[in-house]
Amino acid sequence: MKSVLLLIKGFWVGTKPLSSLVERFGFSRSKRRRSRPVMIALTVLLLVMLIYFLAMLGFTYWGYQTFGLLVGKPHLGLFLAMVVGCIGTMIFSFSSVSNVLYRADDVRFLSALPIASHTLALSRLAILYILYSPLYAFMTLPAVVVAAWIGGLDATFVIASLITLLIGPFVPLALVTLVGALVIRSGLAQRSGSTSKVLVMLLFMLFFIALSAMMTRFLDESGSLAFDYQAMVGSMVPLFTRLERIFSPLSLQAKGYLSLPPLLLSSLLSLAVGTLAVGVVVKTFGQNLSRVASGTKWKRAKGGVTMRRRSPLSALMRREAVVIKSQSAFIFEVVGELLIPLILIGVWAVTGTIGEMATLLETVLTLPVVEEVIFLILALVSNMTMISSTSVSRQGPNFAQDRLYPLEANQFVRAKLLFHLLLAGTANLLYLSGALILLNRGLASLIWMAPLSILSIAAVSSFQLAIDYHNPNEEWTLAQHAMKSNPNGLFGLLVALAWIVVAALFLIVLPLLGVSPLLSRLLALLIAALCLLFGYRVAVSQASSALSR
Amino acid sequence: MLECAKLTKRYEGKERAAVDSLSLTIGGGEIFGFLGPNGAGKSTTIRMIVGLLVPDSGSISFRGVASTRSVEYKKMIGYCADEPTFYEKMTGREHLSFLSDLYQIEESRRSLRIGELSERMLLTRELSDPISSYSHGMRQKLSVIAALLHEPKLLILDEPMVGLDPKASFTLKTLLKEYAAAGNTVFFSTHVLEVAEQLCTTLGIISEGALLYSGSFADLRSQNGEGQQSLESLFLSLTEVQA
Repeated sequence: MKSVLLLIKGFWVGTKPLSSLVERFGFSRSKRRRSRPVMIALTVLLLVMLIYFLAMLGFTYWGYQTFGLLVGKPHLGLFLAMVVGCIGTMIFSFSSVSNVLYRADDVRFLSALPIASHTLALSRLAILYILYSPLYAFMTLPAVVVAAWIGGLDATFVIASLITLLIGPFVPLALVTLVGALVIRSGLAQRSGSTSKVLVMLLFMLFFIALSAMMTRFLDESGSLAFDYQAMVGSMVPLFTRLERIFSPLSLQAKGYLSLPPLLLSSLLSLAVGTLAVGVVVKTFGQNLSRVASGTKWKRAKGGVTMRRRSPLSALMRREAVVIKSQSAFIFEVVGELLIPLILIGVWAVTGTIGEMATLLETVLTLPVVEEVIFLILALVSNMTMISSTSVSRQGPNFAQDRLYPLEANQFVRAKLLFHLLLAGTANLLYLSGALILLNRGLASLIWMAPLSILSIAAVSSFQLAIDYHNPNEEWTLAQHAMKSNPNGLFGLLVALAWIVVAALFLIVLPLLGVSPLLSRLLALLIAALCLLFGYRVAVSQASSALSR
Repeated sequence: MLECAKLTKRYEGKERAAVDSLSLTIGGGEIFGFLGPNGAGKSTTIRMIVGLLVPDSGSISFRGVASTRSVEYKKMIGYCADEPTFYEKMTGREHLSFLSDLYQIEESRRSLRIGELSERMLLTRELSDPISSYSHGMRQKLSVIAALLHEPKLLILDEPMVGLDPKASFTLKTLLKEYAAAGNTVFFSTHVLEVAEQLCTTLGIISEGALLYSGSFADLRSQNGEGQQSLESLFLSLTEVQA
């Protein structure tokens, strides 16, 4: 036990996860001098978003908790929070499990020290728990607060809250580590490398979509997203009863907030499942470490690599693709972002809400600015990516090499911009064309949509690049820190949102105020071009300073 | 000619300068061995010369080009880092091809250079493998090939012999001699004093950020006036006096 604590302490002191996060937000001493007001503004924005998200969760749980009281399920909001917390923790932790448990640099050197395999395994599991239990708390705490607000506080509730917060993440993390251990043990991870990781992640996605299907099918039947309790009683009660059957341990956990026996039973169950999974992981840890250390089986490239001369621009663009392909977390993120419209359609189809969406679309089609609305929706989807805003960070320690290459800063920026355009721009043009054909609008509108799409994606991308060049995360050890958990990605999304607001002002507000559509589109094109020029200059200037740091 | 004048670099939060007013001049055709204890400032000096670090004060110029950040300067240098990093999913050949594109090396020339260098460094067969499968020594070999690929006028190597097998180490020494004989400048740091003694035409000894000596081995011996002292004993006496 002492050794486990020592190893956890070592990880904490060695990686300083909290202070690293604070530094990423630009509050280190050196950054403070540079751009304090910008950093404060961005942090305030982030906090507002966080509070907004918590409030939204709280409001949703409040609706279900109140509804539960009406239908004799006083634990309903809490139950849904447990489900969201459990699935969310599983999905978010999955891509880190293999890294934290088996592949992290410190594991490699620790495994050579005289530490028992089970001690090391337990310390890594504890680290995983420390990293992901705050996420579980974030997703479930609003429900606890809401339930306390509605039902009042008593000793059982307080004890249950504390126990559930502590034990709640056990089951999802145990299951995820179990899957991770089995994937490595089966040899799947070694045989097909990142493909297997993406495959397992896709399985989780499918699970999530299926869950959404069960939860939202009711909403389609009622035809409303508001809490229409009368309409909800008939159709939602059977759904929740079914859900409670499927997730009976979580239902028991939620009931534990209201009385002690379910609390004890659910805690024992969680501990039993957790212990079982931990047992398997600990037992297989040594062998799995050895499997991982023996590396992914690779194939020798057949035939020669082309020695054809390419321009530096083309070479750098290909390099961007190599960097993305190097980590399954990057592949998953980029592919997911590019396929958002298709994923959404898939979710709607599976959840049975596609009919409702079609009705909504019919309403949109009657608007005088229908094409503009379609353009803006797809522009929003195509700009909500982290391709550029984490592009430099993805390079990690290899970014230092860029400082050695005999190239100007603008060549790096251009390559990254073009790569972004190649991915997001192409996808957007395909979606635009598809949407216009499906809606019988004809492709003539592409005359203004295509250039505006390219200009706006390039403009947003250049600002996103500037953000990442300003403060790239070069020292990540887990790929998630370079992309998914990189604050630059979040700041980049804010830029994309800001651009959509600006574009909407020109494309929708101006025509509604009587300005001709042609003029408003031309103005939007002009403003996008100006933004691109400005953004490009900012990106090049940030790149220059990053490359000469 | 490489000229460093009064180079100073101080890291944030450190009282002592990592490199303190260091001045050096190394001519074409010279092999300059940079020696010093751990933490003496060797890597910091090298990182300033290759443009990875900006000196707090002082200047660096090579063949009249004063800006280490300029494209012209970067084209003239080849750098082999002490811990080379690569894009792991590339094969060795893809890495070299990528660098050839960035340095705009002609197709015929790049094939010739890659073939010739990989053969000499005994890495031809492994060039088709992903870099992630390379051992430490293979990475070191690839880094040396990459540094020499574009035929730089100034070759800078930070601990290049670490991890190399005896044959590759011998080949590298031969390569460096040939390279310098063609009028190019070689600047390398090492802890292996025998290598420095055999290979270098001039030496620089640095300790605690200050350059204690710069010149030939013979001059160092005569300055210390003790006949046939080995480089090891001269190095130890110099750095101990400083400590």
